[in-house]
Amino acid sequence: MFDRIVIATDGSAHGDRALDLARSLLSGETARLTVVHVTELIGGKGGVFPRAADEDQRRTRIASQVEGLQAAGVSVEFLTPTIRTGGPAHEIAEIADSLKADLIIVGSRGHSLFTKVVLGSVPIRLLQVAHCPVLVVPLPDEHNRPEA
Amino acid sequence: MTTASALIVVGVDGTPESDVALAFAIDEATRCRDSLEVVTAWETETSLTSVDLVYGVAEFPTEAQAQQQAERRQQEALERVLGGRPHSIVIATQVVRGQPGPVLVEAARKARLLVVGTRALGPVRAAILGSVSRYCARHAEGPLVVVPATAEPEDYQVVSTRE
Repeated sequence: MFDRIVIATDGSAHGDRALDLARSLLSGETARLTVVHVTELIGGKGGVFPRAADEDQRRTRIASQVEGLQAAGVSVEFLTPTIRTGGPAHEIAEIADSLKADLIIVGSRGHSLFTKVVLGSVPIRLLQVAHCPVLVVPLPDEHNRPEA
Repeated sequence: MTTASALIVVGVDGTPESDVALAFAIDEATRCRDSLEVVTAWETETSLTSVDLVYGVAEFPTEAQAQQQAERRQQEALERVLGGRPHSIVIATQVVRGQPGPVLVEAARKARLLVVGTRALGPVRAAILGSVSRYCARHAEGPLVVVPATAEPEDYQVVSTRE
C-alpha cells in the first residue's frame, strides 16, 4: 500500500490495466494518485506535432478515467506535460521526485511501433533513472509473450 | 485485489541493493498483511569468480556447500533487514539452484508482486540496469517492483500491525 503513487499512462488499454492496479495499491483516505500523460512533440516542415496522431483522443480518454476515479472518491490529479522528443521517462521521474512519490507505476509496453519489443523504451528508461521503486505492469495474458 | 493469502516474492542475494528490496517487500507485506516468500538463487558458476577462489584460499564449493552458502546469505540478509524487530508477517524462504532471473520469475508465478533490487548506481547508471531486474521486467507474468539502490531504506521500516 502506498500513499503517493505516480502512474504514467499513454492512454492505451495496457495503461488502463496499470490504472486499475494503482487504485488497488493506494493505502487509504490520505493516499494520492497522480496520473501523468506525457505528450511528445516532434518538429517537421509544417510545424510541431504530437508524436501520436491520436493524441487528443488519448488525452480525453485518460481525462475521463481520472474523472471516474474522482467520482469514486479517489484523491487524484492529472498532469499532462508536453516535451520535445527524447525523454518521457526523465519527465516522469522528475515529477515523481518533486512529489516525493513512493511508487511509480508504468505499463511494460504501450503503443509501441515495434511489436517485437518486449519491454517498452519508457519503462526500461524509468527503471534506470527513477529514484523510487518502479512497478512494471505486464501485458495481459492474451498477448503472446516471446520465449526466453 | 488484496486477498488474505496474497503473496509477495522478493529476490535476495545478500547484496546491499537486495537488502533495500527486501526491506521494501517486508514493509509492503506488513501493510497489506500478505505473506512473503524470500527467494535466493545460486549457481556454482558464479562461485568460480569469487575473490576467495581467485586468491586460492578456498576450495571449489560443492553443490551442497553452495546451497548452504546461499542459505546463509539469505538468513543474514533477513537478520540485517529485520534487525531483531518484531514483525507480523509469514515469511517463507526458498533457496534454488539456477539463474536468478528465471528462478524469480518462476517463483512469482502466483504472486501479487515480485520485488527485486537493482544495482544501477552512479554516473553510469543510465547505461546499466541489473541483469536480474531487466530479465524480470521482460519475463515476469505479474506486476514487478524494481527498487533502486538509491531508495532510502529508512522509508521501509518494518511496521508491526499487531501488538
